[in-house]
Amino acid sequence: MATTSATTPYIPIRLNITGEVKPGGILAVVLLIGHTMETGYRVLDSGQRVPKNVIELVQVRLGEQLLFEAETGIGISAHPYLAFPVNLPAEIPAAGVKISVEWRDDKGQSGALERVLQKT
Amino acid sequence: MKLLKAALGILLTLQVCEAFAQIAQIAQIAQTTLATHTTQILQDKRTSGSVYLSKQMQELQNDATRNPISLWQERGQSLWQGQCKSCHGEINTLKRSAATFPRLGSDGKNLVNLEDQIVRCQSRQNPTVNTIESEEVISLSTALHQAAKNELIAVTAPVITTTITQTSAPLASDSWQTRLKSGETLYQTRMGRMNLACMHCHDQKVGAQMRADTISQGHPTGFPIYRMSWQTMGTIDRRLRACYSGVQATIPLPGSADLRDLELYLKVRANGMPLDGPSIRR
Repeated sequence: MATTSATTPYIPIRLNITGEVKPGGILAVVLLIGHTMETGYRVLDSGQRVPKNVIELVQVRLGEQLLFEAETGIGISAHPYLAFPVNLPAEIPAAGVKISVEWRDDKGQSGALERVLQKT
Repeated sequence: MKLLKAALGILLTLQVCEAFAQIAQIAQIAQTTLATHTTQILQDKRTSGSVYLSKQMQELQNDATRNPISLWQERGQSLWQGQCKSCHGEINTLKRSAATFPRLGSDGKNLVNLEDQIVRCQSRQNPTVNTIESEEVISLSTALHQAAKNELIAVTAPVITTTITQTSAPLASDSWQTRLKSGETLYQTRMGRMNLACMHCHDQKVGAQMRADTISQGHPTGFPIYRMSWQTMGTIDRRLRACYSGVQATIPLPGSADLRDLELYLKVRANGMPLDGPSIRR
């Protein structure tokens, strides 16, 4: 499992890809980010309010092409789980195709992960 | 005629003897079957909390790509490589560890659970002490419990073998028994505005619905847990505090002796059950 550490604190991100890498094929992709997604409404037993800290933007790219971007907010649960299909191009170059994910939150923290898929 | 009578008498005696022997044998078989049957019932009756999960939650638990626990597990494993490996070696060499806590601490009086032990270990090398609730400690606990998956819970009274501490040996064992007794008493003591003891639900109402939840037998086989309502991993310490909150009792502080006593009693109650590894809960 590929894990990249973003800026501190350590926030894990993982990408699970299933399906055959073939021209015109469809892959099932699962993205899991270990972010606490603090809504800003939580109050500790000490009476202290936990400051808001949520992921604001998630971008997924296939090669250079933007597949989608998600504007996430306080309505998204902790450790966001995104599952989506990816349609592969009609021609797969010899170097493979690259799926890359980027996220950033309201504190300026960010993380990224990319995976190069070779033709199976 | 006399001879015939005597022969008959002997035959009769023999038959009676045989009959008695048969009865005794049957009784013995019956007794042993009953005994094995009872043990079987007792064993079968104890089930892990995962059994009471909904189908969807069980699927989530078993699907490695979706299960959020893997995030902590991976972090725990990488922390192990950095902080623990140089002394303890590979994580699998300590795989029995999670199944044997809580134990008596070095003072011979207070109980120490796995998370306490991790904090103690860390504080030896690092002055910035983590708490039992911190992400690092929970991650390490997750990795250790994952390594201990399918290990049988074996929490027993301390046995001291060295001659030097012979004088304190009965003391250590005694204080362990005291802690266990205290845990058992807590388990049976009514508390809170609900005026309920643990046993009223987890012994007497197992399988009943409590709102959308099914009441489990309360065996601590799946800790640490990813609880959906917490949206994070939590230890048995936190889960027990949530129980205090559930019956609207005064919630003890994290790491307090009552929680450790209860944990000890629950682990002893679940002795011999396999650990499930870190689990998903509602």
